Amino acid sequence: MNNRGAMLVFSLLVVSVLAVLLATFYFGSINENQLATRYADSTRALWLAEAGIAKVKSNAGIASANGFIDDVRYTYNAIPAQIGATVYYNVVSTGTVTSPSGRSISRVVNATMKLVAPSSANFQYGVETTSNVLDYKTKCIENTENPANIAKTGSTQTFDNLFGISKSEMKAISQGLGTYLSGDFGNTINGSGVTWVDVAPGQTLNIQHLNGSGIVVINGNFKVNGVPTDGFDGILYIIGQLETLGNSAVNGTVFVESSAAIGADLSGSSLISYNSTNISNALLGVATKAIVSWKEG
Amino acid sequence: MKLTTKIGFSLVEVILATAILAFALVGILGTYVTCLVLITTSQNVNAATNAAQGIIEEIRSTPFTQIIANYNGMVFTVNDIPFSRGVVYINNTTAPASSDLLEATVSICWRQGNKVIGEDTNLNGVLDAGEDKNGNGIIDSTVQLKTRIVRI
Repeated sequence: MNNRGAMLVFSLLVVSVLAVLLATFYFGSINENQLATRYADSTRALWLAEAGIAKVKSNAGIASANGFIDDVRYTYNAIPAQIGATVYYNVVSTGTVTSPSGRSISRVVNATMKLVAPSSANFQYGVETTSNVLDYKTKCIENTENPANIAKTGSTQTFDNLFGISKSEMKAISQGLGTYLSGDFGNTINGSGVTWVDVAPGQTLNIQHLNGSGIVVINGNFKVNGVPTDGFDGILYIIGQLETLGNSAVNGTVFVESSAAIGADLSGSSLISYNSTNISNALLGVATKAIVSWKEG
Repeated sequence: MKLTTKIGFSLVEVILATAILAFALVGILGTYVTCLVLITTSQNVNAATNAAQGIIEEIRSTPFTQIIANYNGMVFTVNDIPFSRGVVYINNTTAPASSDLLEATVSICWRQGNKVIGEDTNLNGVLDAGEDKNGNGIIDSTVQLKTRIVRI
């Protein structure tokens, strides 16, 4: 028998066997590495989804939240939906990580959020003042929902009772998520969510237009004019004296921690119209939100 | 006694076979080392991800008002990864600015072989000159978790 070349064949066989074993090991390692990277991205996506829930919770009222953290490859998208006609909302938040190669990984978190806003029943009148001085023309305040509750003087209600938070907390909300105004900011207040306006001590803030919606707190004396196209929907709270002129309009309620003169001019047709729906919507801006259940997927 | 049998391998065969095996083994060993590096990387990524997640859970269970004081700039090591360094950033200046919302970032860097995974090349937990490759002001790494934390 001729054995020439057997060593060569044997060595090639050994190399082949080793190559197969190594290839298995190599692809196993690659796979494990991809799994580890995927695990890291998946965990990152989960925390992005949590960031979406946190954003919805921190926003004024209840609203969708979407965006990214630091890089457009790390996004979150949280969408709240009311559960029936209850105070509960189902928030579905999706966190997504997109790798440079374009592969994306998403994780979804479902949270049930309980929304508790201060009661709109705290506000019963078109105009309410802590003072006994309230001058107004009959046509300038109306309450179609309860005509007996047009105005109230000598109110014992406090800010904390009405809104469930202190003035400093309300101001902090305006500075964080709403609008904070002071100094010379122009002739218009355009309310959105929570708006806080600081007036210099001893002075009166005199503006031409009050528009928008939500809660507007004026920390000082306030005088507002208006044109027929102006209109504010929500709660106007004055920590000082109030004077309305021109065609200024509030659809909701006005609370004054001092005296008030509504429709102080002869020619104007200023109007404060009580509206409980607008009041309820405005109070969502200071609602507290609690996560009552959580699940993934 | 004179050996006359021709059974066995010729010198040429042995040299050739040895050369083939040696050549193959060099390649095989190289790939084997690569595999070992990949496995170590995987283990470290998993360990770092778990550690970062643990830190975020810790932060979330801390009273909101103490989070910045307790965690912003905190430097830590991961027990399962030799030569590792993690750093925590707590940021409350995210737009829109809110006193009720914080942004937490946990980055973990580690030395693997002769290179460092992440921007913290000297593993001191501080962003030194030349380390911030993407210019975002923080230490970035392969394992980096970010989330937002809201006041309860």
